[in-house]
Amino acid sequence: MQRQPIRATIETMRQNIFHSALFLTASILAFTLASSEAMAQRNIAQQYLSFQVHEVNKIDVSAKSVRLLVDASTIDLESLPNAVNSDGKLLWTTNGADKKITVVSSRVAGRYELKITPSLADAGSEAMAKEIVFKDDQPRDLIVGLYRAAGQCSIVLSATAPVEVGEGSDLHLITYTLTGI
Amino acid sequence: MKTLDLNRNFNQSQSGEPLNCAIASRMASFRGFLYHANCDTRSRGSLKDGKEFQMNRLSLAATGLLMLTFSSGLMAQSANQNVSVTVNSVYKLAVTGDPSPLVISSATPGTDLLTVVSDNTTSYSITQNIGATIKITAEVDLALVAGYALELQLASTKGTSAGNVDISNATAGSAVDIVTGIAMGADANQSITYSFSAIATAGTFSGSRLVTLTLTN
Repeated sequence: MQRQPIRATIETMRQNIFHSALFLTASILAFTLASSEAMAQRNIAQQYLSFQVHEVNKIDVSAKSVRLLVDASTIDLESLPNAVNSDGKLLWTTNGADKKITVVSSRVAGRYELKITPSLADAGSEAMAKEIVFKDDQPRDLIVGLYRAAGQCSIVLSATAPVEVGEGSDLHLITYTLTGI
Repeated sequence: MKTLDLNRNFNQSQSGEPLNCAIASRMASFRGFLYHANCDTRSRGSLKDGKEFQMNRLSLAATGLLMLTFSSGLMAQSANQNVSVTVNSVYKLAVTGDPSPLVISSATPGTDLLTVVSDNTTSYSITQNIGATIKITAEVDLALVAGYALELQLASTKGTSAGNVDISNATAGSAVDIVTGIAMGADANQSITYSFSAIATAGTFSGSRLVTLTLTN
């Protein structure tokens, strides 16, 4: 009976070793499984993109200030004294349909006639241009038939000064507008 | 061998204190005595005979040392275990969400190309331990309509970025390379830049696309 405590101790120690080994094995197994799960990685990533293109209407004129001078050097005895300027270009971009460009002068009634004539070399096949003589302050259609296009044209301004009117000057503020029909 | 009755002789030390029966039996064995199995630690007797066992400190210490040695031998055990460590191939790609909506609303007069818009608010990170032949490709779930274009650029410190790459028509099966020759390691928080463009003749537009980035070899 004196050996019982020793045997009990040995048996307890054997059980402890067995339990420790079992726990260690289970821990290693669990770690391996977890690592495997972590390694089931994603090699792709996705992004959701949304797009919008709004209707855009943009217009501009290259020559911001134009002077028409009627003097002795521009007088042709066969015609009325006049002056011409074609420095300016009208440029526009629109992605909308059924657009036109109107033009209006701030001067209601000038002493000298001012005329504007667009040259549609790069305006697009469907665009049509009209010659406008400024007589009042109402907008007039200058270029029509614009459809999802970007274009430009030369602006020819001409002023006529009858000699009986005499000398003087007219100041015009001309506004070009890209708008819908 | 001399026989002693422990009940009679070892229930008390020489000083009259009760002894542990186990210690007493060890001591008896050490000193060459046979001992009875019956050991009543509660009974108290006194050492009387000439065969009484003289317990002294030296014997007690020697026996204790012997027991300690024997006990240590019991606990000094070892167990072996084989552990194998495996590192699998790792290649992981992640992005930080979706970019902001790409909206075109302006243009330069006289030009067909409307003003291009870009977004670089998102980034990506990669980790790979495969080799230096890894690349990132991109594809869209549906091609863009003619007149609209989507470009993608991925910054990279581990590979070679192809710059702005048109992915407008990179549908499934025709993914395009965006970054190539990615070295092993991690590349974190690299910028993603999308550029969306449209021409005036294409008209207005509203839609969405799903872009898939793939880390592959």
